[in-house]
This record gives sequence, structure tokens and C-alpha cells, in this order.
Amino acid sequence: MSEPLLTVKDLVVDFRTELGDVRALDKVSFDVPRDCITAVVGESGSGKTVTGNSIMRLLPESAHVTGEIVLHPRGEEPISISSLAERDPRLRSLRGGLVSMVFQEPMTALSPVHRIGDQVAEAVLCHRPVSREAAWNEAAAMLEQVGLTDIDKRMRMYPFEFSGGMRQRVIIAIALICHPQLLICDEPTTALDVTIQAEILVLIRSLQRKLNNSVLFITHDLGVVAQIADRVVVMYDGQVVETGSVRQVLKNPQHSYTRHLLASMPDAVTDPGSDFPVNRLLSVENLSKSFAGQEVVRSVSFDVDESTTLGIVGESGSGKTTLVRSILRAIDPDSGAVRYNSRDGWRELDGLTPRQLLPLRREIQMIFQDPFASLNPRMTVQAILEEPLIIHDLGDRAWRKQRVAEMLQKVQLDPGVASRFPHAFSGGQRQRIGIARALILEPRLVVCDESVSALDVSVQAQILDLLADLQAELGLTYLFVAHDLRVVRDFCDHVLVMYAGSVVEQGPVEEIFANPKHDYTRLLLSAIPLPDPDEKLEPLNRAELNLAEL
Amino acid sequence: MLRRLLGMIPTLAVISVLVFIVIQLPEGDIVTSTLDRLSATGVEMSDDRIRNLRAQYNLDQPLPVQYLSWIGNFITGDMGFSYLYARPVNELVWERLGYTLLVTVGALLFTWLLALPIGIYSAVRQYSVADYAFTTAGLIGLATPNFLIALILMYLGYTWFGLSFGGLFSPEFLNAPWSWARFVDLLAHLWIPVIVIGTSGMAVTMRLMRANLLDELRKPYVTTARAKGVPPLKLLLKYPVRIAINPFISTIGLLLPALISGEAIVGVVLNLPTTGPLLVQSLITQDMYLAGSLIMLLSVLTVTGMLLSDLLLAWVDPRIRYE
Repeated sequence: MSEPLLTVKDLVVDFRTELGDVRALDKVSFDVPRDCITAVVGESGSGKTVTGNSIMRLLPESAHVTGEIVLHPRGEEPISISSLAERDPRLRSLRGGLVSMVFQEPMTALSPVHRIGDQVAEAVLCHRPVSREAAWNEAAAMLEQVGLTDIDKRMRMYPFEFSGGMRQRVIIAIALICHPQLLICDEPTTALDVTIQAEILVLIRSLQRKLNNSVLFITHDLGVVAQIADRVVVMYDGQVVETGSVRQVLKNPQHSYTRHLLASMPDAVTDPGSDFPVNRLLSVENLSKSFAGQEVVRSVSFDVDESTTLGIVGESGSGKTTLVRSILRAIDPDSGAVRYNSRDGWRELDGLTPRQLLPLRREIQMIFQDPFASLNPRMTVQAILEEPLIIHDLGDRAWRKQRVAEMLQKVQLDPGVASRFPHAFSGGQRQRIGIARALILEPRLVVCDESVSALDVSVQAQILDLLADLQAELGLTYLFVAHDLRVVRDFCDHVLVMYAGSVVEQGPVEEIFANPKHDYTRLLLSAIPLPDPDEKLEPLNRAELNLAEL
Repeated sequence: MLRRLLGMIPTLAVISVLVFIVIQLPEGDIVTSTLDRLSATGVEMSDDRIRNLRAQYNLDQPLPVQYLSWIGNFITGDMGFSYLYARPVNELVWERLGYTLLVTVGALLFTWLLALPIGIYSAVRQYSVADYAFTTAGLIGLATPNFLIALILMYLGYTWFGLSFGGLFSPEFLNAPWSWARFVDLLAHLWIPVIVIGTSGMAVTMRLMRANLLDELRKPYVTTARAKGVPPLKLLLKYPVRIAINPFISTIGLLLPALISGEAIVGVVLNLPTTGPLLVQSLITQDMYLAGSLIMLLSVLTVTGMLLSDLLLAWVDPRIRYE
């Protein structure tokens, strides 16, 4: 085998903080071979992003780095990246020249006040003595290669006029325009909708073959790994725990952590099941809502039975959040009816005044997406959890305290943590607190708005298990808004597919997944990256199906 | 755009009524305050003369009529007659507006040329010794009243150099025609009010620039540019500084109202021929036309300044332009 393009040896990174040194990478060693895609996979805190940033030398000043990173460019002397001084001109020619990078957040990774064309052309001007015009033309050619159309017009536009997927294509163009030998992609598809993710993955794969470079692909998603990588480096807690070919690692994992990661993939979540009699809980009829003359939800109808889970899927902009908010009466729908079978009989939610709604709010609760933003950082867990009880004027102080302790136990947290503040908890623990807050009022209907999508895959599996257990124990009904179809398939009983404000398909999960009728559902399903290197991603073509990007 | 312009009209109409009411609120008018002054010196006026005086100034008319004649003249460019200075308000304002513009713009440039680079430096070298030093100095500057700085500078100038700093001209040039020597004399006086007024904005500008830039420096597009291989200084100026500076550009519009009301106290202390002291004087003496016209002018300039700010911001930030 030929010499690898990049060798990382005994890389140790410590971050100096006020609380002492924090070790981010601990003796990390791996190679990036030529002409292939190497994936670095791990959960948050595993050190995968720090590894990528170390290679680009983008770590903050508080980082203390030892170890060796050596690049062996084709036809050039090896460069020891780790020993270059910050002011060394070779470092600048390396960045964006021999090695370049694509980032996670396409929405913010481009300067908001410079034109797309200028931002791409600048990368050429930084590395080669060419005229502005030549650089502009090169940028146009590169943008075409990454799949943009109407190039002349688009190059004069600003990033905020582009969708997330288009911005990510622009960033890929910037990264590839100087023909780097190594392209580092740091979670390039995590912030994108599943269908856009599939398109970007296919694009990166085809460009890698065309340009014959190497790609270091950082991700948390084993499905994405299986789809894109030739080789895999598995990281855990700042260390490399396993490396090998993608087939070897995914089909025959050696390290227990890799096996744990694979087992946490949504397919493995147990079916909640339930032994409650069928009893209709919620009935939505012809619900519509417009903003500024644009119909965001169009005549949506569906029913939900008690103790079942209805998944609501669709891309950003499909109207799923507006739908749920209309049901919760966080916003007032324009027309249509929302009927809810409360403990005191059927109620029309859409006709009630806020005062009349208050008793029903006890029965309908919500679990939010962002476990960090949805808990008030200045309140203790006790205060957060008892606030709903106080609002509804339930019990005295001692009773509330006991209730909070019970609830914490129910979500598998130690009741002793009630006196702490949210920042003392991890993302998964915070989401447990969010669940406890929702359940403390003994609701019957719980709306989960992307409640697990911000979590690492193994934490996600635990939270889904918890939700399933609570459903079986308390007979809860879930409205489960999600964009990850793998989670929906394993967690929900029924599914409702939304596109451009309308329900394009609904029915039992098995049926929809086995036999999708609508083109949009088929497009969504074809974009799911499965954690199996033998089942290659072949997303359907959006344009051919005549489905506009939202 | 057109809607913005049309929207200014009702705003200004409402303001003009309010201004008129506020001016009428204190008891008495220019005639009573003149009478007070005269009776203090022992002179009495006959009722007939008083009535004539009132008629001369339109003060015997009902209030709505007074308002309409005042605002009508204002719109056609006649701001009325100052009883106090016994000259048309237009003359008084125009002769002072030029100097006010000079002092205000000078002070702003002084503030920006010093405070913006310091802010940038403080952000890039956050928590360095220099950062702390600049912060401390800036806060002291912020906490010291302007007129005090003016007094200190005047005192030091007098005791150390034997110079008198009042006004914008030395006595011998005060009423002289424009010449090179008079211009040099102006510059020799100008720097004092420029520094005094400029330091007041320094601390805020510095801290704001530092905070804005710190926010921007952490944004992903900065990392993208670094990863592109953009040279460090060019990167700093072209990306984060370019965006962090936007809020300052939008404050340029606030200069316009400052031309009338800004730094009145410093103007009084330093005896500057600017509009600030004129406004204070007119309010004290109930010089109705002078005060009313100045305040109305202030309002017009405020509204225009806001519009100007919006236009400037839209010009530098495409995100606003396209909304």
C-alpha cells in the first residue's frame, strides 16, 4: 500500500480553562489514505471536531497541542502541520490550498454581507496570482460542478437568498476550488433536511471520485458513515477506539463502544406496544393557517387514538411546527376544528378563550427540541418542575416537593438533584428534566417537537426508551414531530407526511414505509442513510418528481 | 421608501402641535417676561402699549391661529423673529449651524479614529493588559462630565500656557473677515471642544466596538475565511470588522439632531458660537419663536436623521436592503 496522505500520531490536545486543563484528545493516531473517504465517527465530546480543527490548525489559543500531524502531498516534500508557526506563510498556503474544510452550519458559515461569487473567487485569489476576472470565471465553473444552476445570477446574490442546501454547495465549492489534496468535512449534512443531506452526500462522493482527492468526513451518524466512507475511525472520549474498513467496522465491530453505537441506531428501539383499549383522543378537521397571505397549513385532517403515537414528518418549511402550534392554540388557526376528548368529555379547542383553555392545558403538554434553551438557567430543577403545579394551583409546598422527587425518579434521575441548576446536567439529562416538567401535571396528550433530534444517538435511544416506558405505564398519547424517519419508523404507530402545508399521506407506519404512495414520501424514504455499506444511497431526483424545494 | 417619506409628514405634524403646546405651557409670554424685566428697573408700561406690543407679536390672537401662522411660516422657511436677539431666527441659526457642524463632525471623527481601532485591538487581544488599560481609561472618561473636562482643560491651558480657550476665535479675529490667519486661529481653538465632546463618546464607542467584534469573531464565517487561507489582517478587516461596524454607521443619522441640541452645557462653558447655548437661552427667556423653531428644527432633523440612518444601513448591509 502506498504512503498515506496524512498521518496523525500521538495527538494530544488540552484546553486550558479556569477550572484547569481539559483533555480533548488523548494520544490520537490514525492515517488518512490517498484517494478515499475516511470517516471519523463519534458522539459529542468524543473529540472528532477537535481532530479536524487540529489538522486545519483552527484550534483556539487556549488549546495546547502535542504530537505530530504530517501531510505527504503528491509530488511535494512532506509538511509537518503540527510544527508550523502560526505566522508561517506555509500554513496560510496550506489552509484552503492543500487542505480545505467544509463546516457544519451552512446558514452562518458564509459572510452575510459579501456576494456569493466574491466569496468563492476570494479562495482562488488567496492562493494563486490570477486576475479578479479569471478567479470569477473559475468560481463560476466550480459552482456549476457542485450543482448550482443559473450561475451568473446566483453569483451576484447574497447568502441569505440561498437555502441551506445551496449554501452548503457554495461552501463545498470554496473548499474544492484550489484542488486540495485533503478535504475535511465536519458534520456537513447534520443541519440539513434528510433529502438535502442525501443530495450533498452523493455530491461529495462523486466529486471525490472525480477529483481523486482524499476526504476526512466527520459525523455522528453511522448511517451516513455507511453511505459515504471507505474507512472508519471510531472515537470515544478523546481516543480512537477502532479503525478499519467501513465493512469491517460496521459488520463486525470489535470494540464494545462501536457495538453500543450500532445498537443505539433507531432500528433497535423496542416497540412500545400498549394494552389500552382504543379510544379517540384528538380529532383535527380541515385545519388551515396562513401567514402574510401564504397558506402554511392547508386543510389538514387527522385523528389520534389514546395511547398511540402519531409521527408528523416533513422537511423544514413543510408546516409541521405551525400545525402543532395551532393544535396547542399557541397560535390561532384560520379555519378548521380541533376536538379533544378531555377527562370531562369532548371539547372544541379552537373556540375556547385562554381562561377556558387553562384546565385543558394540564392534559396537553409539550417536550421541546433544545434541551439547553428550554430550561431557565436561573431556576433550580425543583423550581422548574414545580412551576406548572403552582400555575395550576395544586397542592402545598411539601406535596409539590414530594411530587418533584417522584417525577425525577420516573425519568431515572436522582431526586437529590432537585436543588441543582440546569447547567450542571448533560443534554440527555436536561431532556429528562424537560420530560419530567411535561409529565408532572399528569397530561394525556404530549407533543414532542423534535424532542430527540438534538441528542447523541445513544442518548437518543435512551430517551426514546424512556418515552416508550412512560407511554406503557401512563397510557400517554404522543404527537411526535420529527425529521429523522428512522426514529419515526421505530417509535410511532401512525405517521403523517407533510409537504408544503398539506398532508400528502397518512397511515400506519409499516404500511407507509413498506408501500409509500406519494412521490414525496418515496423521495423522503430514498434519502434515509442506512448503517449498511451494502445498501448504497440512491436518492430520487427532486426535479424529476416535480417537487419544489421548500 | 416612498411610504417612509410620506409617513414622516403626520409624524412631524403631531410633533409640531406638541412643540407648540409645550412652549405655551409655562405661564406668561415674552411680553410678560419683558414687563418683569422692565418693572425690575422701575419702568412701567401703559395698558395700551402692552396691548399694542401683544398685537405686534400676534399674541392677542387665539391659540390655533397663532399655531397656524407659526407653522405656516416655518414650512415656507421663515422661522420667525427672536425678541431676545431682535433678529430673524433664520439668521441666528444659520450663522451658528456651520460652526456647530464643524465641532460635531470634528468630535465624531476624533471619537471614531481613536475609539474604533482601540475597540478592535481590545477585542482581538481580549483580556490582555492593554485591553484592561483601555477599558479602565474609557470608563473614567465615561464617568467624567464633559463640562468638567472642559473646565479642567481651560484651567490647565491658562495656568500652563497662559492661553484663553473660550469661543472658537481670539478676540481680534472675532468679527474679522475670513483670512488664512483667521482659519489658523479657528483650528487653534477648535481642538479643545473637539476633544472635550469627543471623549464623551469614546468609552461607549470603544466598548461597543469591542463587544460587537467579539460576537462576530466567534461566528462560523470567520472560521470559513481562515480555512480559505485569507491573510490574518485582511480577514479581520474584511469580515468581522466590516459587520461589527454597521451599528456605528447607523448612528451617523443621530448627528443631525445633535447639531441643534448637542453639548449645550459644554457650549455654554466654552462660550462656543454653536446652537446649543442658543436653545438654552431661548428656553429660559421664553423667546417663543426662537425656542419653538429650534425645537421644531430639532424634530425635523431627528426624523430626517433616522431616515438617513436607515438608508445608510441598507446601503452597507444587503440583508436589510432586500427586506
